Amino acid sequence: MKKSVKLFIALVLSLLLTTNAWSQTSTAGDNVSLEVMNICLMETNSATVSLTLSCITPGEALTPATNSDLFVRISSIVPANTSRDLTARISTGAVPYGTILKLVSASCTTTNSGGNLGTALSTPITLSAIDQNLITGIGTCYTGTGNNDGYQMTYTWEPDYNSTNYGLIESLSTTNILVVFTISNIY
Amino acid sequence: MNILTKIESQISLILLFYSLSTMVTAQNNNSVQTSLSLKISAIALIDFSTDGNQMITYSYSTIKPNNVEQIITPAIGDKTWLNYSSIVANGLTNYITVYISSGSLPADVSLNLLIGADVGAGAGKKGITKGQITLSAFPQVIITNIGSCYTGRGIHKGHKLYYKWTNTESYDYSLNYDNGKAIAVTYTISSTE
Repeated sequence: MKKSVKLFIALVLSLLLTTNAWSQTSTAGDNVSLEVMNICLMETNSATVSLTLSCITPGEALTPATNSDLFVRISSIVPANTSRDLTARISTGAVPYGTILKLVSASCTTTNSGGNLGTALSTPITLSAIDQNLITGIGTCYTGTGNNDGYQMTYTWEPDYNSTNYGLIESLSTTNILVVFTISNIY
Repeated sequence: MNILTKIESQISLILLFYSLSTMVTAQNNNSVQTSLSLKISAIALIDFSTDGNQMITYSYSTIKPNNVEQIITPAIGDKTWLNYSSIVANGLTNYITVYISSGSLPADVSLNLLIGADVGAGAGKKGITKGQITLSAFPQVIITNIGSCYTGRGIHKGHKLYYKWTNTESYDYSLNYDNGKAIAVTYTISSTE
């Protein structure tokens, strides 16, 4: 039993030593070398986005539904002369037949942000299973961490007014689809 | 034995920290998944649109939006258009019925209704008309196979209704109207569910 205890201690020591050895390699010599990591972190305010298509006036089409509750927050550090894009796609599920789901990002909120926050594209994208740009030219920046900090995302869900496609619409009890936001690698 | 367990747990903690610190260094959290909840309501809405200043009164209630009532006179002619909006579930359709919901006609007066085909405004799967019927106090189906569609709202949209009276001279419209015995017809849109 004592032998195994010693063995464990040795194992721990070796682990710690490895870590030390690593840090030594990056700071060896008389000069202090500073490294800024290439960072890209992302999260949302976890807002629940619910959209319902309905109509209250006889003779009229379904009224488009919009939701702007979701904010995407990022931290980004990029090497000189490079940038990232923020894209979105549907990863699970599909937009119901006869309807179109659009997404557009606002420019980043200014209260708690800083740096090169990129340019939000003004034309909404029609969401599909393929990544499409929402924001381009994101450099080194941070958006802030508050609930309403970051890029505000506006979803618009509307019927396809094409006569054949409108006829494909079916009433639908609540269904979930998943949308993935991605920050591209630097390029 | 106890010491060993203690040391083992300490080691696993250290290992955990070690692996965590490695993850942070990677900084690889560059995508995030969000959930979106979508719903489409089943819809069956119906209403009239009338052409010009006709002697037509009708009721439309948001409480019973699948039901409209119209008082009609021999002068009404073909000044009424039926507008509707419909969203159906897979395998179902909506249909429209009509009946004389108020008043009664003299025995020698008959009231026919000609239902025009949808004029092509709006979009989607509009219904198929029955052509012509003789109105009675019993509901009769006049438009079937309505899928998900909308006719547009207003005159010259949806289906044109043409009322044809026979022997109108037997029917003293003004007297009946004053006595609250006007003829009214009710249109209802329902699901085949």
